[in-house]
Amino acid sequence: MSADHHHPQELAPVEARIAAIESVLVEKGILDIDAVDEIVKHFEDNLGPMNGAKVVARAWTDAAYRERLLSGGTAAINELGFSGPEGDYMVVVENTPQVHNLVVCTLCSCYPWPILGLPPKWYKAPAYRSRAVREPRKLLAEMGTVIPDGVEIRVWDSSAEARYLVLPMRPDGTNTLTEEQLAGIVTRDSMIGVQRL
Amino acid sequence: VRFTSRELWGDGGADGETVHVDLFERYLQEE
Repeated sequence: MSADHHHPQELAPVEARIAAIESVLVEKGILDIDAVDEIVKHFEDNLGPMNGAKVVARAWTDAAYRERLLSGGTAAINELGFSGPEGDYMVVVENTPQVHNLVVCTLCSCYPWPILGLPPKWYKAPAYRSRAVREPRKLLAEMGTVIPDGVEIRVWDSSAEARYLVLPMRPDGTNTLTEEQLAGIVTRDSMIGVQRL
Repeated sequence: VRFTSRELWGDGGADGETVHVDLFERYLQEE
């Protein structure tokens, strides 16, 4: 039995602060604790890159859907049931052998929640946000993704309204995979553009 | 709006890199 068995891990200062604010708001009847739980559950269960992966897999297997996705991202993504705040205006950009796309938010951390969930810490870091526009090729190489000199890198700067999704190139040797299996190989990072599949 | 890396960073920029920024604002739309 560990020494801290009877002593739950202490909350981090920010966690304690949030818990205190939440309890005061509930006590005053301003906040409904069930509503908070519902929102947290929604983020945990329903939002995340698994949604974006389904969008990508559908685009890889359905040419008509791919066309709709590239010409009107928001509506095409809605077709699969994904919508909501931070995803009201979606633009989908396609990687090709000649073009590699990279998404950033230089201002803060704008990110397409309905299809990618919450942004990773590095996405919010000043170093990523500045270097993605200043020296994207070098940044990507440092992140393990080497983009050949002959390939154009297009950086898309998100805003409060416009959110971007990268449609990665379908990897070779995946012709026999089902749509569901294809979704399983699509990573969050590939949909931000910091990884190639 | 599309900017080339050279337009943004001058000699410090690189070829084959562009930055795209959505500058649309609703108030710019004609009534």
